[in-house]
Amino acid sequence: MSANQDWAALSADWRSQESPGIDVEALRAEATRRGRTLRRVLALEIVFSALVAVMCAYIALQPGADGFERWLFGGLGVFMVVYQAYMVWLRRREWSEAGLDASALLEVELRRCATTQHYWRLGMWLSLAIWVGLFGLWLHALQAGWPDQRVGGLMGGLLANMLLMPALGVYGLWRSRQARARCQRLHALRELLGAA
Amino acid sequence: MPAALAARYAPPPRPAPEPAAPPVAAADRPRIEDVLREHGPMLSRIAGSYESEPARRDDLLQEITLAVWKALPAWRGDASLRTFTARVAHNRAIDHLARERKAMGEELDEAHPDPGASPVHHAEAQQRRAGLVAAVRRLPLGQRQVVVLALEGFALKEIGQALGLEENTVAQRLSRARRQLNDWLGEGA
Repeated sequence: MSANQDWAALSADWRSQESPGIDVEALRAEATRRGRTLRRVLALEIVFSALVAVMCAYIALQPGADGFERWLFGGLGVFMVVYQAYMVWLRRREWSEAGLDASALLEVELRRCATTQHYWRLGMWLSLAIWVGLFGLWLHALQAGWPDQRVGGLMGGLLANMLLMPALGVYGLWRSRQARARCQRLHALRELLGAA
Repeated sequence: MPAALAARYAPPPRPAPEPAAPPVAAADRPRIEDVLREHGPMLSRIAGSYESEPARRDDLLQEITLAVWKALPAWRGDASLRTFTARVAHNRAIDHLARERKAMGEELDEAHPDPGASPVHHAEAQQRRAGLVAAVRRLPLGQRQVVVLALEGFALKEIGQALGLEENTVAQRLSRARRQLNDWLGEGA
């Protein structure tokens, strides 16, 4: 038997594998369920961010608010909007199975992975820097004899963040490690795909 | 992103893509039911070349079929529907390998069963099929993708289109994979 006949026989064997039928209705239901879940999560996040931004704007625009409060809460509101927009942008990209080949997809995913690591590292250090900055401001406020109400407000924020900061740090570390492990898997996959 | 990080993860230079044709008009687009009826068995076999455990293979098959459904509106008709479907399937399977730690571990570490060893009571045809599938799964990923499509009856050009590879790369991988398959299946004979 020639090599081609051998190959034809192998091909026939391959194609004679039993394959399960595909239930299109079940598939349709699953697609609908996933789409609904994704829309719900996104809607919840947007509503939550909008709520926080509106609250910040409300406090910043109060007639009694001074310049410091306007800047602080105005900045927080803008930060929330920018953050949420960034998260939506991160999610917007789903793999376009139609247009890319596997190695191009891996490259895109590797860049995304690197961005995730970068995002969490930056986020953790920025949060720490903001907290240290607020702590310095609080010390300055004590020495400069700022009104008790403002010093108390700063202190409340600092205390609350003493709990939030470690939690954020642990979560950020976990996300970074996940992203690093994923990067390693993607690199390994790229090696496997490239091996002739 | 810092420049060093960007440089590290920058993709190798790729040839400029040809201008893409517009997607096929909605009225001319095939229905998912028809696509699955015609190409479902091929999708199932592709899933089986990545996952040996039945439950995980079914999960992967579901992911693949959902991906095909989602991608159908983007089909431009510049490649055949079969090639397009195979490309989506392989991409989704690669995504699956990248996401699932277990699948990746299996990919890298698992000692695949000896294709020559098959249950005594199986019929000869079933033995041959099982041996072939096990041998295909044992191939390195790059060769396996090429071989699966070749076994499905794709021409070299179509395999290149589906996997984004040059034709000579496809030919080279296919030649090595065929030699390897012959060795393994010969041992089991």
